[in-house]
Amino acid sequence: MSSILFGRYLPLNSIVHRLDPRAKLLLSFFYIVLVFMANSLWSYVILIVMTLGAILASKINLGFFLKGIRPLLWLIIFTVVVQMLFSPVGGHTYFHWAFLRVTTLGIITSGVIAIRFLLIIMTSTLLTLTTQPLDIATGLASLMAPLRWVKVPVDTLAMMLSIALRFVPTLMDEAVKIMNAQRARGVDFGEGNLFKQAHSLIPLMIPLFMSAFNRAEDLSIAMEARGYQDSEHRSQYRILTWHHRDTVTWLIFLIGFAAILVFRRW
Amino acid sequence: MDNIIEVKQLTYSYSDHERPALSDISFTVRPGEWLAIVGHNGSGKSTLAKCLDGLLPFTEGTITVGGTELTEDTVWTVREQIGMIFQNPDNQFVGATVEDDVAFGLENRQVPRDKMIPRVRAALEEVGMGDFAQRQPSSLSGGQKQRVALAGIVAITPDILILDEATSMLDPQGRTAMLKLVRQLRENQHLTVISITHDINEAAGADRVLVIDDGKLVEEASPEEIFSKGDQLIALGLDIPFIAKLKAALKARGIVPPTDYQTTAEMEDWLWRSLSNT
Repeated sequence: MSSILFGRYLPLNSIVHRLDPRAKLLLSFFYIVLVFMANSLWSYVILIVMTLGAILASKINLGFFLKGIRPLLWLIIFTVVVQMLFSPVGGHTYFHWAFLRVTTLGIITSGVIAIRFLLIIMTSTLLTLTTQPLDIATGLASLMAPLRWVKVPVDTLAMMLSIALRFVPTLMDEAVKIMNAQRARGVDFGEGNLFKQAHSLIPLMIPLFMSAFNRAEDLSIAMEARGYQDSEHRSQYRILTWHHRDTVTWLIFLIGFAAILVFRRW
Repeated sequence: MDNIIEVKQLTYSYSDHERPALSDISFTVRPGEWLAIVGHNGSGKSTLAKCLDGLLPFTEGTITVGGTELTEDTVWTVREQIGMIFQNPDNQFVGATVEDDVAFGLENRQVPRDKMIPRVRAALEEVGMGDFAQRQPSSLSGGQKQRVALAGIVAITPDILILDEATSMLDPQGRTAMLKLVRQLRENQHLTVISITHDINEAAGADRVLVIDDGKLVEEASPEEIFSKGDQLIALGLDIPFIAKLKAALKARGIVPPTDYQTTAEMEDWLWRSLSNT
């Protein structure tokens, strides 16, 4: 588990770290759309150059980065192989057995899939490595703001998201404590067949749920005692500021995105 | 203002219990006073604290805080004047970081952001957590989290501070540091402190002590008077302070100490004097 980089935050001080989380979230979103829109050699070259440029700007060691996505390699290989063997007939057929065949078209599409996979994993990893979870939450809440017009309770969702994030480490610690306490009383976690393994999770899950209920009760009383009535009638301590560097980054990427659309085979 | 809090014939029953958790409780609190409410586990002290802040809807009796009677309509006005700190440091930490947590109460009062920033900073400095503003709760000790909770109270400057067993999950060092801080804040901000506790040493520092047993108010006196009733305290399921234990042990060995309550320094003084006389 610890070798997976995705979802972790790496505190460094680079231009990418200092960008507004809203800018990064939106960029990642449009980037992923563009990855699926790109279909020519040149459009992929532009995407790869943009990705490598962003990684270089983040000051994160490329080797470290590649090592981090290694656990996902099997998934990529599996998809690529399946795509290659089951692809439709097209171009020269190199290999043919029963319903499996390797064709030029198959090799090209599986190559494209591999590149898409890598690019998306790398950008989303870059996003989480360079942005604190809290900033991602604040950024998401701020990006959801227009949904207020369609009666979505954005402030309440933002409050829930921030409390959920704040309790992730607390609940993780507690889960480990309960596991160790149950081990000390003779529970074997991860042993035996599937049924037994699932059964051994009960003495972990039930106390964890019960304690989460108690925590929620305590927390809601504490929030009320501190004057919390509802999410709408509050001011904000944590706000995000959009700097010039965010605009400049967006302009650079807009040029890149436009170039991809130009080089795309329509 | 004569009394900052007046409680008259307060009775509260949880819906799933036969016996009322609180029955016919009446007392008053003077402004600036340090009141300790003691009682064994399940005696109803925490229920009382929650009633005072309007967190539990009581059916009988009245509570008046700072001249306002506590009703469904005035509950938020009453809460403005009261800051509460609860027992579990983790379960009352709302913010994702220390500064967010201190700002939580201010956000609820719709304080504009440029006014919040200096108040949050000042409150953190006051409790000695200025260097921890960006830290996340999981990286703090229990005592530090309770100090952040205290900073959250300092930021909203209430008149009354209720400590609902706020030190019971802390180690002895964290407990001493926390109480020292509360004492200091009380001086600086003229706070009225109500501390609900079963830690008898915490009660020893109060101006007045209320003893609650099974939902009833059984005693109301100064700590000196309360602690001179050593055996009666034990019968109520309470502990006695260290000095009282020492006196009992001396009595058992034929030495007769003074019967009134003494602080550690006074007892030390008495021991020195009686030894140097003989």
